[in-house]
Amino acid sequence: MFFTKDFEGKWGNFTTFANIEINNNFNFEKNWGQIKLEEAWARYNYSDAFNVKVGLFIPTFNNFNEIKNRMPIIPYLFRPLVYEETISEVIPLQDFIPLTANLQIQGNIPVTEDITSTYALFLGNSEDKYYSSQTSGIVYRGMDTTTFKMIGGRIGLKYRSFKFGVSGTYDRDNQSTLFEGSTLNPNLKRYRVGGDLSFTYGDFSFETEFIKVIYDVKNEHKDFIKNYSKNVIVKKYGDFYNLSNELDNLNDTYNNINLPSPSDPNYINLKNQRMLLLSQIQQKQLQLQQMFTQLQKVSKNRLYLGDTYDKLFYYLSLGYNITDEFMPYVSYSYYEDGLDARFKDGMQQYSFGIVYRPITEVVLKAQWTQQNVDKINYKSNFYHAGISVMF
Amino acid sequence: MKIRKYLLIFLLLFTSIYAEVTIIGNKSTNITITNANSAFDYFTMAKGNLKVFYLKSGSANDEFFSFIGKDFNEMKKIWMRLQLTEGKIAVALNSEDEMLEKVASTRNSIGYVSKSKVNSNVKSIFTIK
Repeated sequence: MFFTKDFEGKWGNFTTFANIEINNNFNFEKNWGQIKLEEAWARYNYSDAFNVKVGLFIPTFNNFNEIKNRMPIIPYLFRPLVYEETISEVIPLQDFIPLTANLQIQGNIPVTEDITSTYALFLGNSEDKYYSSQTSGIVYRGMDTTTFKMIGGRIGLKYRSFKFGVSGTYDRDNQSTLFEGSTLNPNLKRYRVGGDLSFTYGDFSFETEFIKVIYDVKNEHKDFIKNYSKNVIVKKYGDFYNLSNELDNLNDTYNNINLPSPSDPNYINLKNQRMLLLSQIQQKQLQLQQMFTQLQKVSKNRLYLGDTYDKLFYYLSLGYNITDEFMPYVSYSYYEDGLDARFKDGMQQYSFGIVYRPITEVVLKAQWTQQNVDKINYKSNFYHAGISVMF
Repeated sequence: MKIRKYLLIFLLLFTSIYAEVTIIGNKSTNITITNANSAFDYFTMAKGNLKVFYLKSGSANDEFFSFIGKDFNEMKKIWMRLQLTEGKIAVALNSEDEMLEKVASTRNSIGYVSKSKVNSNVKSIFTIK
C-alpha cells in the first residue's frame, strides 16, 4: 500500500511517502503473514537542482533498483537475477544493490535545452547483517550496531525517454560467519560500481545494466579462503577428534570405578569421584555438541567456497509494443560470484514474456524463464503467470 | 444543397482535427515552454516541481499527446512510475472546464485546454499549432 501527501508552506514544498507491504494473508489475531514498513520518507523540494529526501527509502542506484518492487510498471514476474527476492537465499540482493538509505540529496541540472543531467548522493546504514537481532540485548532489535555506514550515488544524463547513468556505493560486508575462529577482520570493504542505459525508440523499449562488486581485502583474506580447508576445517576436525578422545577417556575412567557396598570406608570417596567425573562428562558432551554445530557450519561454508571475492551481474531486456496493450519481450541476465564456487563460471537466465495491459492500471503477465549453471549441470525451466493491479 | 452540406461536414471535421490546444498554468507558475521537449519535461515533472493535470479523454488530448510525441498510455505509464517511486501524482480530470477551474485554483500547476477555452483566470504558456 502506498500513501503520499504533499505539503506546501513558507519554507517550500514537502512530499511525504509511505509504502507498507502486507504478505501471506496477514492476520494479527491468528499470527499469520507479516507486515513490513518498506519505505517512509519526506522530501524537501527546494528547486529542480536540489531536493533532500530523509527517512527510509530505496536509494537511486542504476535504473531498476527503485522500481524492482513496483510490479504494475515492470514487465517481469521473475526479475533479473540479483533483483529477484524469491531467490535471495542463493543470491543475496544486498551483495549487489543497496536496499535502503536514509538521506539522499538529488536533483536535475539542465545541460542544454533538451538534455538534463541528474545526480543523487545518498547515505544509509550498513547492511542488515549488522543489525541487532538479540531478543534480550540492550540494543533494540533491528538497530544498526556499527559505526561504519553506506555511502553512494548516481550521476546520469536524460533526454526524454533516453536515460544513462553511472552509480557507485561504498560500505562493508559482514563476513563474520566465514571468518569465524580467525583473527582476520570480517568487515570487508566493498565497492559496488554500476552502469545503466534505457530508452524507447518507436515501439521498441530497451534496458540494460551492469553491476560489478569489488572487495578491497588484504592478502591474508585472499589466502584465508584459498586455504580454508587446511586452516579451518582440518584444525576444527583435529579439535573435535581430541575432545572426543578426552570424552572417551573420561567415560572409561568413570566405568572403571566400581562402587563397593555402602558399608565400605571408600564408598563415599569413590561415589564423589564418580559424580565429579559425570559432571565433567556432561560438560565435554555439551562442548562436543557445540563443536559439531560449528563443524557443520564451516563445512557448509567450504562446500561452495570459491577462491576470490568479487562479483559481477548484468542484464539486457528488449520489448516491442505490437499494440498499445500488448508487448512481448526477451531478457537475459548473467550472475557471477567468485566467493561461491557454484557460480564462479556464471549463471545465466533467459526469459521470454508477454505483457497485456487492457487498461493502464491492470497488467496481465506471462513469463518463461530458464536458468543455467553449467558448472553444476543445473538447468531449470519456470513458467509464471500473474496479474498486477494499481488502484 | 448537397455540396454545401458536405462542405459544412468537412469544415467541421477540419476544425475539430486542427483545434489549437494551449498549455495553461496557474498565475503563480513561472515557466517557459518553447518546444515539445520542454513540454515533455514539465509534464513528466522532471522540471519545475509542478502539479500536473491531464484530461481523461477529448480532442485536446489527441492534439496535446501528439505534440509531445508520446501516446496517452505511454504517458500514463510514466506518471504511474512517478507516483510509485517519487510520490508525484498527475491528476486526471473529466472536462476542460474542470481543468480551467483546477489550474486556476492550484498553485504551481499546469494543464492544457482548447485555445478557445482559455480565460483570464489562468496563464497561457504555450499554444500548440
